[in-house]
Amino acid sequence: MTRRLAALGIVLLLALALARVTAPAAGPRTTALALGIALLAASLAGDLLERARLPRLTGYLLFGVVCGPYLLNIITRPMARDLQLIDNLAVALIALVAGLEMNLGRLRRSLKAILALAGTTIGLMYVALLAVLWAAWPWLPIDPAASGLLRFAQAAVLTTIVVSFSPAATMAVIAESRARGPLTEITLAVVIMAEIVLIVGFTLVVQLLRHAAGAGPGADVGVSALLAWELIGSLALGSLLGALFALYLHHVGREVSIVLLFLCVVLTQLSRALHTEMLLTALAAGFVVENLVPPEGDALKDAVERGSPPVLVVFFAAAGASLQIDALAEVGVLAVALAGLRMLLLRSGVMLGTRLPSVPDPPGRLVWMGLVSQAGVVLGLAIVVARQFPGWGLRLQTVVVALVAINQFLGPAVFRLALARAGEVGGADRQVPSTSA
Amino acid sequence: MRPDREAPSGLDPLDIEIEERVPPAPRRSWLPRRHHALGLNPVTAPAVVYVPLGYLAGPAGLGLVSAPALGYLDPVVSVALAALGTLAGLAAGDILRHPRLAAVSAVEAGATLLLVTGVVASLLYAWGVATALPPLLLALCLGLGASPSSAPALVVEHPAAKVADLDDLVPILGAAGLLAAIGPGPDAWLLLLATAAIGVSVGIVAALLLRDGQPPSERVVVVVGLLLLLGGAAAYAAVSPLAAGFAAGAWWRWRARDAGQVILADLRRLHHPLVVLFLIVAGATSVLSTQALWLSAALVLSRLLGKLAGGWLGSRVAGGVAPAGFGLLLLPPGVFGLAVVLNAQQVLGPGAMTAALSATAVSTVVFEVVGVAAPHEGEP
Repeated sequence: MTRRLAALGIVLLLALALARVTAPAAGPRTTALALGIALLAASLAGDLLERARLPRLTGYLLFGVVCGPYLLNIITRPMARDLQLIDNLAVALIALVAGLEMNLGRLRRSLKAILALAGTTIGLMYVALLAVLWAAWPWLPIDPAASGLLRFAQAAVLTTIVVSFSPAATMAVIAESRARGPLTEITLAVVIMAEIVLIVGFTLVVQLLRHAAGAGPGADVGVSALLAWELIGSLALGSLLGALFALYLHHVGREVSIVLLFLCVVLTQLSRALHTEMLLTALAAGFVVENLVPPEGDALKDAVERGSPPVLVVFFAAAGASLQIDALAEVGVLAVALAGLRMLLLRSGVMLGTRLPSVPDPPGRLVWMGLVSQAGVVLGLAIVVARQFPGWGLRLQTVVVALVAINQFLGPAVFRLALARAGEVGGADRQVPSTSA
Repeated sequence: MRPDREAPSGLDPLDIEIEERVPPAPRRSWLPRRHHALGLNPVTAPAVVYVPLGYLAGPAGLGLVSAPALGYLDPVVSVALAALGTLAGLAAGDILRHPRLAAVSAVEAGATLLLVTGVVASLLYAWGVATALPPLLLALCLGLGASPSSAPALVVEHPAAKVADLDDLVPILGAAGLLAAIGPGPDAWLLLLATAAIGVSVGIVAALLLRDGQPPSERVVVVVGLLLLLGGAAAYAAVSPLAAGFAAGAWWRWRARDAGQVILADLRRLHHPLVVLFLIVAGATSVLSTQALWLSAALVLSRLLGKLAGGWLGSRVAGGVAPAGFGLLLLPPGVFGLAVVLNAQQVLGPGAMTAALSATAVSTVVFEVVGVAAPHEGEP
């Protein structure tokens, strides 16, 4: 450990010396340096946590939190923005690899279990959370004066956001742990299914909210069309790009690294330009590749996963650096209570699901631990509400930001623990590569 | 200077892994078979493909890679340069093992440098062309970019292959000195010291972090982090990432050989995509103006003369070690020449170096195309 701390000391001294002897730089000149320092230091933090028998990725997150703009400010806001740029590419790559994981033939076997678990978990969470939030609404620091249908609609919006998961974080934990097995497959499928249900559900509750708040019908159509496009457009764009990439892999198969990078850049840029959900787009692309050319898809997935640790370290460090700790200080108690209730309902929903005959019990019981994470998509939904309803919407956003801060930090560690308990950590390394053509 | 002669800029790691699992379709081998049928060298240099592709995609072509996108790719270029410098530094041990060939390579590269610099500077003065940099400095940058060779088609034991590997040293160190002297930094000696300090610091960090039995997933994070730190720190301090990489590589070669071996193994997997991106950026940054085309013509002719003269001089210096007329084998420039000039453009700014970069890009493609027809599989 002394050697590692000495190395960290040299890295930090080098960074300080550069800052002292050269003019302060901005933009692309700092990007590589910020990434280099982040990778090495986060990796050391991961080592440290591993020695304390905690997951390495908690170390990456902790590094981001401690060195991020809210605490030590070693990763300054411009550096955090640079990391965010890379983070978008990382999310595209992670989602693409997760899509490569979804072989229809393999999924068909566990489809019933996935539907049962997703149905019971989301259903129970929705009903219970909506009831609790509606009942507690007058005491919540969001819009206590609301009543009638408006209060119900506001509670329904907050419920939808609180129920939602983080497919990106789930996929990143799976990739970082090199996990394979029933728990991995079921959790991933449940999270993705929930993401689609969430987008549809959110469209409906926002419509209800606008109706209850007396907003014009034109705007109703706007939000609904936007969210419908987000869903259908993402799947269509992803399928198209995936099909093109599958053709390239099968017929050319050269310079795959560069073409893959190009695909991720195109995915992020087109998603931004066409207002589609980047994660769903990349997921659909990976899914199409895996099911059109399975041998190439499997080989690509294994190869990318082996080379992806640096991308995952940056993803988790950037996630840590972006945690808005100040929101926790404002509404911390409420956020902690919400996070606790959410976890309790997650566990209960999954336990209910495992009583159904189609769900394999031992891994099924652990699925709830893979659903704790929340991240970017949830924040995006809160921003939509805040823009539509600037008064109470902004207060709701603060609560959601604080809730995400908790779940974004706890979620990956809890899921890693579940994968370890299920004996699926490192499963990808134990699997014999298939050679079927 | 490369430790792996089989692959001039490495092979794509994903290509290799996919091909191991999924046997390639017969049509994939169409290009090499056609090459063999025509008696041509089967090695297609990446510069021949990616520099023109970059030009087509760049702002002067279809505009798919815009000027802001090139800005975002700047850190990738710094890291690619650092990776190339590291490979050169790691291979620097050959100097001790082949002192006579090292002398030949210094003479050959020096002769090319002097001839190109002299011819281009004379033409620039004679034509009275207005350049952002003083003509002699511009010519010197072009000369440094013209001096490396790659000889990709030769077997590793061939003396010309060794010379081609060793002659990258002159432009890397020469460019580091030149850029420190004419760059925007405060003091040339301070900048040179900073370059070495960055390289050695990262070298020490690697020796402290890389250990035996480290899982590959942890090791790759450290190696990628080290490369980013190397390229990023050099770019931040406005010094040469090539030279900083060389300093780190040489330090690993002489002071921490175990760490050097680990880094070399991972670099072989990582550097191909980096080199391809850097070639695309070089192509996309090029502008084929009248000035650039005239410079290209002058550069191609003077480099041809330089390599022939350098080869002749080299065989005189160490007769018996290097065959007469081996300069012809050194015509393919590889990627180091373009790396040196792109590095100069990073430090001096696009206005000063665009014509020089474009000329070097054209010259690189021309010589690599000529290299396809060059003798291959040569025996010592």
